[in-house]
This record gives sequence, structure tokens and C-alpha cells, in this order.
Amino acid sequence: MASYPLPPNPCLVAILLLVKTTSEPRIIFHYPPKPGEDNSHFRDMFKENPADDDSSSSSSDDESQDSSAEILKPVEQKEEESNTGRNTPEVDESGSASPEKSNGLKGAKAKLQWNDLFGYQSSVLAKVLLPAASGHKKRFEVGLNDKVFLGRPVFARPDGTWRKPKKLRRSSSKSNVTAEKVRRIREQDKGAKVEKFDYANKDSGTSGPDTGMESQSDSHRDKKTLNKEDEIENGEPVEQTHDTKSNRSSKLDMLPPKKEKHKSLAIFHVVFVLRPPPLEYHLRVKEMYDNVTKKLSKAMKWEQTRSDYVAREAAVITSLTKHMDKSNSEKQNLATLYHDIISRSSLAKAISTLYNSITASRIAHIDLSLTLSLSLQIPFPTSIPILPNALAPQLPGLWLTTANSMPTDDDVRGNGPQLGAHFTLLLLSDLHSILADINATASPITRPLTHYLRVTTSTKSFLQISQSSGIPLTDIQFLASHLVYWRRARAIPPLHQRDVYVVSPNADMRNLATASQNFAKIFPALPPLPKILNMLSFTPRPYSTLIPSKDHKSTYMDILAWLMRGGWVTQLRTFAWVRVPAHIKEAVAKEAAMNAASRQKKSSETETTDGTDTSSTSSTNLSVPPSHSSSNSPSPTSSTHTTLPVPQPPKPYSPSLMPNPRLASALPSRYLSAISTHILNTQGPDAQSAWDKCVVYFDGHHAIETIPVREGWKRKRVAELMGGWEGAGVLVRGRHW
Amino acid sequence: MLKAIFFATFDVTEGPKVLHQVPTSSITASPSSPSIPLLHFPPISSLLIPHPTLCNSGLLTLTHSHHRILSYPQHIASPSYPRNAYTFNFCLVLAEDAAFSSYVPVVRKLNALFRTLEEQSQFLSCDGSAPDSGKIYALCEILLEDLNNYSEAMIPIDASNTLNIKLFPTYPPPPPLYAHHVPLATVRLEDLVDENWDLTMLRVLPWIDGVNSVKQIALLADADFKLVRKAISHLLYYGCVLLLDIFSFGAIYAPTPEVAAFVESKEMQAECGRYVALGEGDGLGAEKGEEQEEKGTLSGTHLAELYLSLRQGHSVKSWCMERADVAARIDVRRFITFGVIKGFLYRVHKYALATSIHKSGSKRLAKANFHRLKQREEQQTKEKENKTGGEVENVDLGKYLDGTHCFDEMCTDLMVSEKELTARFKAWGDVQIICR
Repeated sequence: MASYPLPPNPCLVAILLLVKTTSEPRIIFHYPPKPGEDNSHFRDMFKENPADDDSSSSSSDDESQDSSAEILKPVEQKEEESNTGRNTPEVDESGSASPEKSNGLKGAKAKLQWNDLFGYQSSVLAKVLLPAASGHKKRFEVGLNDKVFLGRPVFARPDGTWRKPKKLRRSSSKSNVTAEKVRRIREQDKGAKVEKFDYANKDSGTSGPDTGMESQSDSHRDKKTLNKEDEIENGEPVEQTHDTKSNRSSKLDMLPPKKEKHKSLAIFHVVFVLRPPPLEYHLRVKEMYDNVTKKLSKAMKWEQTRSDYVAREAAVITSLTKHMDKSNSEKQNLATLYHDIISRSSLAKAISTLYNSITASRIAHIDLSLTLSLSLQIPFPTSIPILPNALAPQLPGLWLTTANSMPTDDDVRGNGPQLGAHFTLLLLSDLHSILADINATASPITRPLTHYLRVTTSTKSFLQISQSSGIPLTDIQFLASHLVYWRRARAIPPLHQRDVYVVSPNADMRNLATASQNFAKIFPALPPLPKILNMLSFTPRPYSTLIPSKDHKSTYMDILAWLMRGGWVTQLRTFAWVRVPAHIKEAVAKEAAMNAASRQKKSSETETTDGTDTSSTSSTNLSVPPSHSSSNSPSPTSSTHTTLPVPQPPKPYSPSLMPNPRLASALPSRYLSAISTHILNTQGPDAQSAWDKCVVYFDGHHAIETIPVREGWKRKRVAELMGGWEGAGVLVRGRHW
Repeated sequence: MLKAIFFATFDVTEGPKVLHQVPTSSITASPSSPSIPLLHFPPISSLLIPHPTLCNSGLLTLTHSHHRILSYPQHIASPSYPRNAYTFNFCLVLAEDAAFSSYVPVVRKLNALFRTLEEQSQFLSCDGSAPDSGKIYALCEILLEDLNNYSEAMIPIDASNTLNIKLFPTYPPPPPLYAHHVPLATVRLEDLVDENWDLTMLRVLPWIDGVNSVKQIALLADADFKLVRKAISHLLYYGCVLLLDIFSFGAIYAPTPEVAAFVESKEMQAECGRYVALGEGDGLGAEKGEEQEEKGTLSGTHLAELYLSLRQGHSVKSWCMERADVAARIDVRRFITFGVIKGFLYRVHKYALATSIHKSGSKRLAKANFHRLKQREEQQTKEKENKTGGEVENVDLGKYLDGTHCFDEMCTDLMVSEKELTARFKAWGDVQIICR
């Protein structure tokens, strides 16, 4: 049995930013302000709501006062820090702490939060988190008690630079790197993808579109056609809005990056502090590393290489903390300090956004710099095939189906298998809000995405939509994967009123009350939700039987979509197996015996006569001697008496089900052709040809509901055929989701 | 599986140093050594012999070259030592992707014990034996072998100290257990029992048969329900019991996607055939094969078809009536239970939802209650009142009508039959039944 998916649990406690310049490594920023404590008032504050500001800051002030007595640095520690070199004064301040050392107790209030992380001195922790040189761009993992410090450190090159020298000389990485240049650099890098973070080539496989990397140069491109590479580069629903940021862009870009100073950035390391449950340790750590830590680190490396980004941000943050400490050490408090840092440093803002979104299991949209936005998430399954039993972790409300078509990272990149052509999209929020989100951002796929969203419907498959709208199928599949990956939609088999839907055994009954209220708002003047669910509760029947009149059809289809979206219902799909009736087995055995007899008589001619006798048997059967096949005859009770000799005169033939007709071996394929002949004789050539086509679906894993779509037949006809075959005893059907 | 154990200490002249290691040369190898070490010690030495503030404060793990090191650094400050301190760390090495939670207590105990010994008698610092020799090395060696081979170790250290260590697996906490759950033993529980077992447990065990619900077990064993629930939760935690639902002929079962596995598996069909056969105790008649077949065991194909014919909205009772010929030849309860145990059948539970609760708060509810009470009174007079405490029960009923409680739960808690429950719903008024 497959393992059950676990409910999302990011276990994220804090994010730390560690940099090392020429001397000591330092944690220059961490979020939340007080890791491991209740930071809710800080979070409120960062919603930029000035009304909240006062109350929250005062409360935090109190708290910091309370705890201020706890930690005063040991003497040796102070000495150690003050000894550390300050050859590059601006960047190389020993964090926020250095000016306060002289202030002693006066500044202790503000400094202690910086210097005390999880009960460890910040400087001690920084040394623990400082990776060995061999850890460059590798997973870094250190555990202290129940906490894991997870990161992917990035080192400067041995000569202290960040860029491969042969690609571009240092001098050209001036602040005003033009878009053209960026592109050229990146294109150059495509050749040698060793050092660079370039997302367009396959090296970026893990980080490409899903990180949603986007540079200005891309968004300026005229290309509106969807060639694969553009999709990959820009595959991202929420993109940077370059208009709104142009002000800030000019401001920041004009800040002359002092090269001597920045050269000194030797290592940067964003550390994610997790507290995973012991049993889920590996899973949670891997999830976080693969989906968030690694992608952020790559993006920062790319931006650092391009524009000395991390060094600049580090300078901004350190100068701010220093400035705050100096100016008003009395009134200093964490809340205002954080407010300042986050409003001034895009990296700090990104880290705080990332923390808040990831801890809430949402998608984090962060703008690292003006040219680089990315979206990070820990993906969550959209459906489960197995109903969790009482012992398994429960995931109520999750869509229960085996018809899953969840795109992975690969799909979004366009490398992996596509969403099935016979699926369609079920939007998870209303069209207008999705369109608004898409249009709020500039991206080359905005227009095709909008166009596609306007024509998509949950009742028509991708293929049908492609045919009616003229959008190429592969584009639709790409756009759809994109929307699914970013949790805007879900891929489902198209809804149809003749299909059977039942209340999902995995429906989240605890939500029933709120869902009923929402339902009543959206569908007034219709039966309430409990009534609808009640109607779907009993013997499975087509959804159309619920629809009172033709006029109600579209409304009821909307209801169905709504129910599917909330995981209230699931489609009951029909699965079928070929049943080999006793008389077929008998006929085949007889024929084989006859052939054997005739072969004994005329051994020279056997080959050809065999072929004709077994009518439409495929040639592969001929290689098997008939006597052998009869001994192989799978009797369902064979396990109990395998030692018995071959002939079982009176009733050896009992019906059996064929597990996999597509890969049938010699004897089963003989049965299949005998059934086919039988159908020809009893139901006519039409039914026979249909049977031959359909037989591949009768393996218990292909839903019968897909046959009309795939083969282009009428549902009614399929239903009739199935009924006929079942009546003839050659087919067994069962229903599940 | 432990890869290595090593003892690192802070050498006054050499700094952090691996003194003893098992297997030899697994951590630091001399140039002449043929084997390649698992780790490269110098870069991680400062973490394993860390800053004093990180010592004595708990577990420190790190990953390095595809291995995970569990350690518990110890720092003893005393003027008797050179540099006034002694720092050491016993470290366990595991594969990076191995589950390590059961080794955490080991490393903690190991370091705590040696800290005590060191404080008492300077056991470690005065041990002058050469690297990879002496009693500390021997101890590490025995520990590694015993833990890997027997998952436990008992190593005498000196006259008064013994190291006792056992690896305990970590299981997830058991799910919440409700009165209507039916435990079914997966092992012969009576074989596990010894006289030290809990008294309630001993009373409960005979009644765990896959038929009785937790509540029924409590009644039958004449034990407190809460204690019974706790006892069964224990069994659940160790995987000794499964949870089923209360079987009744009025219940509805339907196949899940796992049914495909049953259709394809001849072994499972044969197992099922033996299990559901009438008259056989517990499938022990399997060897009789042919004989049994003549007695009327169904073929695997037939069983599969029977399972596929179960469906939503169709109770076991009506299924039996539809297939009376077959139903008479098998143990229907076992037939259903087999499917539920194997996970290819699921019970379609019924839930009741009083729409009035959801519409608008308590006023409406009170009104409904009033109506209901009136109706109930009428009904009671009509039925000549053969039940007691009707009102109280109805007030109880209200809290079950939010759609989160299944019929089984209500029947068990209220101690009524499903028939009476539905009658009460009728009396209540606007109750929607939802099956899922």
C-alpha cells in the first residue's frame, strides 16, 4: 500500500541571515524578532498598519525589559568581539552589538535580542553555523537539541570575487548594469553552468520557473509567443511589477556600491531553523531544503554575482542596526528597529515575508531585488488516492480520487509528462480574482494565461478547449500545470452530468457549518448544502437525476464544481475487468486438444493449420504447444492443489478474471480472442470491433468514463456495449473513486 | 545501524582530537592506514568540541559527508585540569538518511554517565591508555557491536557502574480512540501476557474479538470505560490491534481503489476464501483444499465479483437478499471484515445534520427543541411511553446533529439502536442524513 501523505507542517521556527566578511561570521538579521516566542504582535506590525504600531511596540518593549536581566555577555566574549578587526568599518561592524559594548547596560535592551538566539549567544551560534569551506553550495545541517539549522552556504571565490573572471571583468559589474548586459552575462553562462545561477538552462532545473525568477530584461522582451524557454523563465503567476518599483530602483541603483568594501563578503548563509517532529525529521527537512532553502540560496547567489546584492543588503542592515543603537538607545525597541530594517532592506523584507508565508503553508512571493522576484512554496498534494483509515494521519477535505494528475516540478518546467489531454482545470478561486492577480503583474505569459482562463471550463477537456479556442494543446497543458502548481487550480476529469458523484468519504464534516453558509450565499434560492449532500448520499446515480429541469442545468453544474472544489464530493468511476466465462475456457481447451491431436497425425503441417484454426489468435500463440497450455490453465483454486495432474474431467473450468489483458500471455490471449469471436457470433461485428478496442481499458485501472472521451464515442453507446458485455458474462464492473 | 562510535576530547596541546574510535581508522586515519575514514574530522572538530556555552546544553547533531553525527558535548570546569577545564564528547555516527531518534537517548546516556564517572573519579582524564586501546576503547567496541547486533547492551564499567542501554523504536502517537471503534487483535495477545500487565488490560483482553466495540468491551469486562480506552490505546500504539467499525447488516460498505489488488491477487483471494468459509474456526482448514471446495467454498473470482457488487447506498442486508444463495454459504461478517482489514472496502458512515443548528444560532434551536419536545410527548403518549428519560436523551441528541458524528457513535454513546435513532430524528424534525 502506498504511504499516506502527511498534513503540511513547515515546522519553521526562524530564518537567520549569516554573513562572513573578512573576520568573524555574524548573524546580521533574523526573523522573527524573537525566535521561539510569540511574535504575533510583530507580524501585525508589518502589515504597515500605523494604528497597531504604538500598542505593539510598547508591549514588545515591556517584554524585552523583562528579559533584559537574563543575559549580559561574559567578559571574555566581549573582549573577543571587540578584538575582531574593523578594517572595513561600514560593513564590518560587529553586528548591532559593537556600539553598545561601551554603553554597557544602557543598550542592553536592544542588543540582547540580537545576541541571544534560542538561548545561545549570537556570536557562538554564528560560529556553529559557519560552514567548512567544503560546504560550498551543499546542504548544511546542524541540530541543537530539537532544532535543526538548515542552510545552503555560498562562498566567494578564493580571490574574494563572486564572478568567474573569464566571464566578465570585475569592473563591468558596476551598479548600472544594464538589462542588456545582464542578459548577455546569462547567455554566456549558459555555456558553462558551473558557478552561475542561470535559470534558463538545465542546471536551473531545480530552481527554474518554480522559483519564478524573473529579470527585467525578460519582461521587456517582445516575444509574446510561447516558446518553451520563455515559459520556463517566466512561468510564474505573481511577477514583479516593474512600474511601481522604478522609483526605488533608481534610488538603490544609484547607491554606489563601494567595491573595496563589498569584496570582503566571503560567505553568506541563510539558515532556516526548523523544529520537526522526530518521526518526520527527514521528510520535513528535505521538503524545506529542496523547495525553499536551496532555491532561495541559488537566487541570492545569482543576484550577488550580478549586482553584489547580498553584500549591499548586508551593509544596509548592519548600518541600520548600528544607526538605531547610536541614535536613541533609550527609546530603542525591537519593533521599530524591525520596522525600519524591513522597510529599508529588500532582503530583510523578503526573509520576513518568506517566514510568514511558509509558516502558514502558503506560497511566498518575494522580491529579492528589483530585477528578481521569486515564489517559493512547499508543495502539497491536491488529492489522495487512498482513504486514510482510522490509524493513518487524517487529511479531511482533501480531494479523494485515483484520477490524479498533479504536476511536479518537472511538469512546470515542461520537461516531465504533461497533464493528461483529457483532464481539465477546476479553478480554486473565482476567475475574476485570478485574472486580477495575473494582470497585476507583467509577465510574458500574462496574455496567453488570461486568454486561456477566459475560455477554460470545468466541463470540457484540455483537448476540447484547444480545438474550440485554437490554443495549442501543449500550451494549454503548460498553462494549466502552471496554475495547478501555484495552487490556483486543480486538474480533474471534466465534470459531466451523466457521471456519478457521491459525497466524498474524506469530506471535512467539521467545515460543514461554514460551508453551508457560503453555499447559501453563492447559490441562494436553491436547496441548502446539507440537502444537496443528502441527495448525493444514496445509491450512486448520474448527477443529472438531481437536476430538476433543463433551466437548472448550468447552475447545478456550478454547484458540482463548487462541491468538487471543497472536496465535498468525488466522482465514482467505473472500472472493469475481463471475465473469462467457463464456456470460453472449455472451448479453448477443446480446440487446443483437437490441435494437439491433429498435430500428432500430421506433424509436418501443424504450423499453418494451427494458425487458421484458432481463428483470430495472434501469431505469438503459435509458439506454445497446446498440451502445455492446458496444464497451465489457471484455475482459481490452483493454489490449493497445484500438485494435481492436468486433466480434471468434470468441472475444471470456472470463470476467472483477467488481471492485465494488455499484456496477456499465451493462454489468456487465446481466451481474449475466443471472447472476441463469441461476441462476433452473439452481438455482431460492431460489438466485436468495439470490444477489441476497449479490451485494453479492462484492467481495473482505467476508468470506463474515459472511453467515450478517448475513443470519441457516444456515452450512450458505451453504456449499451458495457451492459451487453456484462450480460454476456465477459465483463465485471466495479465502482470506486 | 551504527557506523561508528568515537570519543573526542580537547587535548591541551593538540586541540580537538579523536582519542578512541570504533572501528579503528573510521574517523581519523594515519597516512599508512589502508581504510578511508567515514568523515573528515578537522572541519567538524570545532563543532564536536565546541564553545563551552554549547556544551552540557543538549544534543548536537551534524551531517558531514553523508553521515550524521550525534553528540552531546560535555565541559567540566575545574581548577584541577590544565586550562581549568576538560571537554569531551562521545559521538555516534550513522548514515545521513537513517532514522536516528532511537539513538538520541543512547548518546545522551553515554555522555551523562561518563561525565559522572569523570566527576567522581577522573575516569576519562586519568585514563592514560594509548589511542584505540584501553577500557574506554573496549567499551565503545562492545557498545557498537551489541547495539548493532542485539539492539541492547549491558556493559560493566567498574565495580559500581554498569552501562545499560537499549534501543527503543519510536512510533507515532495512536489516533484518538472512540467508544464505537472495534479493536481486532493482529497478534495472539494471550501469548504476550505476563503477570505484570495492567489489571484492566487483563480484563479487557478476552473481549477483543473484532466484534465488540470499545464501549461493549467496557461493559462486558465490567471495567471503567476510560481505563479500557487507555488500555486499548496502548495496544494500538504497539500495533497489536487494528480498528474496525461496528458490523451490522444495516451498514453500508463500498469498495475502494485497493480492490484492484484483490482482483489481481490469487493469494489474497485464497486467504479470503478460507477466512469466510462457514464452519471453519479460523482458516485452519486451508490444507484440506479439495474437500473444502466441495463443501462450498467460493472461488476467488466469485469472491471478487461479490466484493465489486457492494456499493454505496446499498446495505449489507439488501445485498444479502439480492444474493441469498451466496450469502448463505459464507460468513457475511467475516466477508465484510476481511475487506475492511485489507483496506479494499470502506464503511459508508451516516451522519446527521439538523439544519436548524446551522441556520441561526440558539433561538431557532430552542424553538426546535420546544417543538420536538411537544412532538415527543405526543409520540410518547401514543407509544404508551415505554422508555424513560426521553427529554434528557433528546437534549443529548442535539449535540450530535452537527454532521461530525456518525450513527455508530451516536448509537454507542446514547445506547440506542439505529432504528430508534432514526425514529428520534424524525421526531426532531429537519434532520438531513448524509452518507460518506
